[in-house]
Amino acid sequence: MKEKVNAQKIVLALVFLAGVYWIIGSLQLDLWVRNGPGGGFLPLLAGILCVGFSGVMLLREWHKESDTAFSVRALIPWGALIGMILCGKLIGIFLSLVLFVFLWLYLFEKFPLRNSILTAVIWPGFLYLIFVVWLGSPLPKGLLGLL
Amino acid sequence: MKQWFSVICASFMAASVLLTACSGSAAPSESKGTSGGWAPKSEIEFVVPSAPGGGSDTNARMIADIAFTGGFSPKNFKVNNMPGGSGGVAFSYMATKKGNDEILMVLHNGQIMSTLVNKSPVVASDLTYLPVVAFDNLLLCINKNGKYKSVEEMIEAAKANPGSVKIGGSQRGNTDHLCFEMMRKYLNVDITYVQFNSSGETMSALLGDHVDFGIFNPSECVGQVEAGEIQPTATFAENRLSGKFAQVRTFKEIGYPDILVTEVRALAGTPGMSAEAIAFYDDMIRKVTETERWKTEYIEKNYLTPVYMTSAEAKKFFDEETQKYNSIFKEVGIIQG
Amino acid sequence: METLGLLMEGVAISLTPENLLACLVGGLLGMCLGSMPGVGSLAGVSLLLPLTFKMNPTAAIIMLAALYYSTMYGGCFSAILVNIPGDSPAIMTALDGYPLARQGKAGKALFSANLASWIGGAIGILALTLIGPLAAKFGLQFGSPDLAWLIILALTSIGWIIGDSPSRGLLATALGIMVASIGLDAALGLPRFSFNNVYLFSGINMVPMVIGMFGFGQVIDMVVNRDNFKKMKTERITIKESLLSQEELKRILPVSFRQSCIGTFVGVLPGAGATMSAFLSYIIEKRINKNRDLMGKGAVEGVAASESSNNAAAIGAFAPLLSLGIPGGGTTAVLLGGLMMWGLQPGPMLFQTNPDFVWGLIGSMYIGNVVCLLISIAFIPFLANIVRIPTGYMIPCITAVCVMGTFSTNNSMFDVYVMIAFAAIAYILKQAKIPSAPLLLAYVLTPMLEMYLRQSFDMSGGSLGIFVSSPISIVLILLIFVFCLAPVMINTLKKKHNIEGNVIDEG
Repeated sequence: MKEKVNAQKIVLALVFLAGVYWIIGSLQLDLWVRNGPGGGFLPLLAGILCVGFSGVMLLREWHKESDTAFSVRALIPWGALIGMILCGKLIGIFLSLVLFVFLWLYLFEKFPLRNSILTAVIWPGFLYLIFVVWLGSPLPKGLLGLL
Repeated sequence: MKQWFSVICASFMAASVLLTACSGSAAPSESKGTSGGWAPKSEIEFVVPSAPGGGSDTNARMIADIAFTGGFSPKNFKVNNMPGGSGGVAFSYMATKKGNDEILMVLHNGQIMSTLVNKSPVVASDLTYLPVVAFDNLLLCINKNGKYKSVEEMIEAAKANPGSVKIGGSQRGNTDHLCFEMMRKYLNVDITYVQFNSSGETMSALLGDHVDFGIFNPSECVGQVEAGEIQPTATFAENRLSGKFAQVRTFKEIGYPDILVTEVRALAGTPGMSAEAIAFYDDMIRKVTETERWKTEYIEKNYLTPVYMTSAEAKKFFDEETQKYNSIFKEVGIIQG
Repeated sequence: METLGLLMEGVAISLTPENLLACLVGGLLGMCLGSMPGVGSLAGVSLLLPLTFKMNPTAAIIMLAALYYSTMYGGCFSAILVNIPGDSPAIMTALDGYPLARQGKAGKALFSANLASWIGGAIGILALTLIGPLAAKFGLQFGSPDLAWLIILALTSIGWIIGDSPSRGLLATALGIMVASIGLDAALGLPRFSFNNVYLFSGINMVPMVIGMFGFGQVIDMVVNRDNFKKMKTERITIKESLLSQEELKRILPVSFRQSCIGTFVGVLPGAGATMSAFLSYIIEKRINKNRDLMGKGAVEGVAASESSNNAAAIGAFAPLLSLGIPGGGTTAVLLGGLMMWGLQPGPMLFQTNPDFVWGLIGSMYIGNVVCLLISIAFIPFLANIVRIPTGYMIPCITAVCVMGTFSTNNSMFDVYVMIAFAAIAYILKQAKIPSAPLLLAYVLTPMLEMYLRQSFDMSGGSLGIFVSSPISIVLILLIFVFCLAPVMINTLKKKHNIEGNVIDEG
């Protein structure tokens, strides 16, 4: 499921736009305050460098074929993680994590059921001991107030 | 194989968890009956708007430890550090917990100031003020080999060469900065503020002779003062300090009674905290401040001035203080408009 | 020598059962914590500090110090094995360590890292013993302009060094500066680029960015490029295999020695820490090492440079702490709070008023350093075999660690969102072959640069003269010239020479 889009050009264009946004943003700030650089100075410099480099590279690469490409497969872990967090708003992040690990192992990797369940319980459980019990970081509990 | 690995790690971790859990063990919760009325039903969350190890953090942990081991609170505390936005993040968090009485926050007037200056969506007056527990003072210090040996010399030099006298302090929009602005206004001189990220860096700059003066709490400079490297030339307090700093003149004595800045340590609760809960915390904190341990291990060690104000008194105090900060900061242009 | 006598007494003190136990516990905890992404020395020390309320101060500081420098040992584990730096000082270790692990040489990478860490620690401790107070005093001479030049040196070098194309590296540096400008600015304390979100007031946190770009980014890579991962070697790695050959030892020993010296020094400087020293050491090594082309693709020199430096810097940070009462960085600031909590007066008098404490601590470091080395080597076979776990299991498990590690730094779900966002950004940038490391490094260095520039200009009242007024500044300016401009000029001259040569040949 790989799309042969010229990824390089798109990325460079995005970076170029970011640079422009930063330039505009920093011009709205003070550039020189009390004898020294103000809040807008370094971002303006960086924005200009960004626009400069990305612009030049865009022009050079315009006619070349890209040897890298965006892959839709990258959306999978990313989307899954977002889904996990949304789910976590209901059942709490920890349980959502356990569910995530289990579903990934069982459905995506197609590992045997027993292994999937064991891993999904042991590994997050181990992390729970470290991060929540020992280090005392309370994971958000979600609407149902579990764990 | 994987399970084997996990099991070994888990048991190893469990051992360490047990170790730390035991050494930090909960003291027997001999809850001396609270005087009727409200008592916390679950662990009390104690929010600290700054990173661990700092003044606010130590304050919170001390209160939590004394309150629980002394039996003034039937439930233990859970300290939760939320640095960020110079207090803004913690303040906003407290606002979202409106209605929850089992959550406290340590409050320092520096955060009150910075949330005002940064126009944070939640400011201190949105929260419930709880008792004030201590005042901390500020000193103006010089390097023993420095160019200027007193405030008078500073004024002279600044008038001769406007902008040449450099005063270092940590951060912007808080107590160090306020000290500087007050000096600038009431001494009527053009002095320059050089801002550092922490008092440690300010001290390095002063020791390295990169700035002429530095603003510090007594606890931040006492080591250098004892060694003779640094000398305090004036204090921003109302009365002279004690102990090693008894020889330091106040600005009032130097002739500028308007230059007065104090750091205030207090607590705060969520907006609209119930009156019974407030009464409970008033009582609990009063008992904490009366213990020997608080006096010797916290107040004395950190060269603080012991104070106790009930929540009602604290509210009045802070409302006045906030007005003061607002007007001074507007005057000197830190708050615009 | 008086110092030797004091040191012997200190070692004796550190050998009491209580102090030995404290050292061991601190060391073990630190290694475990250091290897967890998102948890570093700061979290570890802050966690343990309240528990030391009731302890004997000497035992307490021994334990906390052991925890601090052992996190530098631990940080390299996850950096090498799964390309997730446990803490920012380990970022540079991952650059070479992970490629080595992918080549089946995880054992060697770990061994190099541990040996280099030990050398870094040893040299740092020696320096602390012999010239600690002096080094701290010298560090005070570095004023804001000097520190600004130091950062400019680092910033200009990064883009050139990492990745194959200097222009992409510089573009990444520019992006890093842009990201760093989100948050309060140094001059006025006003929020900028914060999109009106209170969470962005103080800018984006480092840990979510690192974990997002390296950690979760790694997960995305694993999913997309499944096949690359299937080709990794799957034999068991033993200690014997991990031992370095004579040749490899010869490669890393000089690197470790010189970067340890640099690392100790950077650690002593106010405001600089283990992260900065690891960057600088890597950059310097990349310029002067004869295997420099291999660095970044799996050279033990890279691992050695970064690891020896970060361990040395951790120890170096104790010099200003003990002799001046000034913390060298975030973790030592917490330790400073601890000192006061235990009733000690940090400052120049500490050596005189509490010699047992100071020398007991320094004595314990010698022992602690060796203990950490032995433990970490013993763990190598165990750890190196983690690489053999099937990718399928790694993906969700690493994800879980990323989420929990990120959340636990500031108890903030916003950080987790930032992590996810930056993982996407890293992936997108990768498609244009823009490297992430310079972005991160620029991000760390820019706020410091802004602060130092602001202080310098405030001090000088606007005149630029302050930037060339101290001998330190001049030396740094020369270094910038030598490191950055000279190679470019030499290359251009060479090209011209070659062209002329060709013309003459043909003519």
